[in-house]
Amino acid sequence: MAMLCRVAEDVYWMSRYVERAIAVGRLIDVTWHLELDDGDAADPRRLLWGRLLAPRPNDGPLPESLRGTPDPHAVRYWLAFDRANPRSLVSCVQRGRAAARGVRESISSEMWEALNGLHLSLADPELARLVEDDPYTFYKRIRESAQFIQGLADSTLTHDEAWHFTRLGTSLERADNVAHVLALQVHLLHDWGRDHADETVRWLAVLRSCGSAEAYARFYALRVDPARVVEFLLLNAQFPQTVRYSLRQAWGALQALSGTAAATPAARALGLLSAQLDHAAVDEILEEGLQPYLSGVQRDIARISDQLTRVYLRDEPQPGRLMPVARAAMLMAAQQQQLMAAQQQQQQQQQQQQQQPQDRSPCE
Amino acid sequence: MTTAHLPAYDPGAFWDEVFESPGVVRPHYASLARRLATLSPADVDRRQRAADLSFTVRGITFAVNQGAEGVEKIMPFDLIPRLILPDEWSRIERGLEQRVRALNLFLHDVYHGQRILRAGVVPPELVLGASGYRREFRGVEVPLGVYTHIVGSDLVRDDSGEFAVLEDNLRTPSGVSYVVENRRVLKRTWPQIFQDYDVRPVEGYPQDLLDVLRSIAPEAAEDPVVVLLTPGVYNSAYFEHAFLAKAMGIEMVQGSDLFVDDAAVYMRTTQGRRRVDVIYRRVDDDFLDPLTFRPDSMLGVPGLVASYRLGRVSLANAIGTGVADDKAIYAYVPEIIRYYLAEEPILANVPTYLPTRPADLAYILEHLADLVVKSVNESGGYGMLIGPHASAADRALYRDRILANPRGFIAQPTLALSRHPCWAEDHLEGRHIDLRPFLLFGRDVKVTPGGLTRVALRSGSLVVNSSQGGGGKDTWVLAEGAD
Repeated sequence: MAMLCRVAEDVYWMSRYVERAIAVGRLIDVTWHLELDDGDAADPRRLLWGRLLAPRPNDGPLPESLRGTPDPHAVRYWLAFDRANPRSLVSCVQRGRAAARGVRESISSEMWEALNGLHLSLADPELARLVEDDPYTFYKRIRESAQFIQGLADSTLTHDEAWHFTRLGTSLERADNVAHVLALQVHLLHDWGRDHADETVRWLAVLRSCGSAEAYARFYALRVDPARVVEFLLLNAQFPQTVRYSLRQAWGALQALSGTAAATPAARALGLLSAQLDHAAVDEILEEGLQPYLSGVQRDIARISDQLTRVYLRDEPQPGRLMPVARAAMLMAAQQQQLMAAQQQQQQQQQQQQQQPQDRSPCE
Repeated sequence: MTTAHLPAYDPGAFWDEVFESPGVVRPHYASLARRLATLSPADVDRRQRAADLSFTVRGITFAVNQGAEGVEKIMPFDLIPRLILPDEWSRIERGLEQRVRALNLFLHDVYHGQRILRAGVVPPELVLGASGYRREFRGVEVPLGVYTHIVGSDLVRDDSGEFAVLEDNLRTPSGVSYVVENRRVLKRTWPQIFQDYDVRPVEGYPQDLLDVLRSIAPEAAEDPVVVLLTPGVYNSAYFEHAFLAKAMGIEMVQGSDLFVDDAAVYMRTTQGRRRVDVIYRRVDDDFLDPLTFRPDSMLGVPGLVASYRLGRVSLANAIGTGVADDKAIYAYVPEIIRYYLAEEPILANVPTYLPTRPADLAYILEHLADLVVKSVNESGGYGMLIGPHASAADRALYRDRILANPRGFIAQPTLALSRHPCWAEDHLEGRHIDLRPFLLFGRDVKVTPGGLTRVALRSGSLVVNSSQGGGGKDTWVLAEGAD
């Protein structure tokens, strides 16, 4: 069944924010544990936390207090509780809840109540202080509440358009987050082998940040090895918390959404990206450079999301909604015009130069 | 029955809904009183907190109109239900139906032949000069001849025990979601008190509303598409809009989701445009269509009114109904009933003085300290003067305002609204209440058996509006044959 474009967009964002809250919470939780293992030996605590602030595409500038090597407290506050940070955990929940509120007639009451309840549970002004005392319980609760909401989406929504939009939002967000966690840890590759024990712990932490440690262990039944971790998180086709799997899910959801969607730029771009992951090999990725590869994936995801919300979901005569051939014709015409304009300009320039008084140069 | 075991309660010098006289409970409240007597304050308090939490978690909130945008509040809920006897209810039902039928005939008349104006029953300048009168709609036919499909009139009971109509809400009355939610929450938090009573259900309202909305669809629409038009999340009744849309299974749209093409209304969906046949609009006339009314409206749909005039889309309620719930026209409703139906009004009006009538004006100015003065253009308890509670400066201010704009105000005696016991921390206290029943009008008239009982929760206050610190009670209409 068709749904309102505005509602589709809000459902999509609601799901992204819920998944993002899980990812942010997991990252903080894991870093916290890592800090305890890692001590202050190889990587000073400040660096460990400060690394979590690495910017993502479209991020605004960091506040002054977090530049340089900031205090871990301040980093945690910024990531979890600061409402000035649009990606903080409370912001994600608040934005997810705001999106849900705008479409509460289109999602199930169970979902709305769970999300509203999660939002209300974060209202305590003392929370940030209390969490420092018992972070594990807090982040576990957040994760479980958010996963509960996702489970409710699967079990209480009709599996029609609205549900496909929740899958789309959740999967795209997840793919983006896994890529981000990997990107944060790329520098570990360079250090690999210096202090073996330490690094194993770190790579395990990377897996945990993506909720993938157990699945990884089962899959390889081997010691943690960076190439395998990268391969697993990027390219495993069966585990839900990998880039490849998530993109396939997203692609499936978008295909299910409607026949016409297949022709939209968002659908084609998502199809291409998903296929690219399906046919990639980890050695070639590393040869090319992991960092640029991950940035490329993240950029693609951002562009796909943009096209989804700005083009597919807006019923306006924008280029993206034109049939490709018609658009191509327009582009050709525009290019021709540009070419002609450039030629004209060149001619004019020549004429004007010729008309200039032909002064002798003083050197002559 | 006597209630020596009930906590001390002072019914005061008002009509008390529960107590006939100090210590004597009215028969239909006897079971409830017995149950109340078994409760400890801690027990009531626990249930009260459970109810509050239920409202909060489920986001049953309203936004306060004035001040910062988007402040969400829950409406305070008092656990002790208000009971209405079958014969009381049947009188209310018949009285409201009579009133609304007459007002619809009035609306048709003032937008067509204007017989009533020529007959001199209502002064023409009062009608034609009303801010709610839409001359653009003269001569436009509405489906089934019905203008007001959803009505929420405010009733009060005075110290004689009689119900009277205080106000007709014929535009976009709100509150019905609380009727349903209050019942649900009370059932969850205090199921035991329902045991001895046969209470008529209110759950059917959304289905009845959908039937009415479908019944007014343009004839060409075979399986009409009905939508609810909301101003958006910052509107004070947003919760209700979502509640009703969900319960009816229809889309809740905002102005920007709709567009008009070739005089038909469509919504923007993921699969292209979809035709809309009926709009239950919770947006005021003024904001419906920037091409016809306020050009700065961001909430409306350009071209909607033209489509409506052509009968390509139906609106509930119709445009221009505000003339019939104008507070000055209100004074003439008994005459309007007599004129169109040749019947005596079943429900009385509250005595109303109009500054436009010289004798009334003199009376008003002389008795400002005893009267309630209301601005005809405001609702929600804003813009009113309660004479006995007002300062001399406020009274002087209103005196000047009335003299400057006699058409802008009405005055009514300060009513001794009936009271109902409410739970106040650890004991019962009397609080003033009113009643807003909801009436649906399509092919026929249906009054939902229940209504929103609003409570002035502040001790001594007479203002029950939720925006002014009022709360709500579940309202039980008892079935015929119940005790």
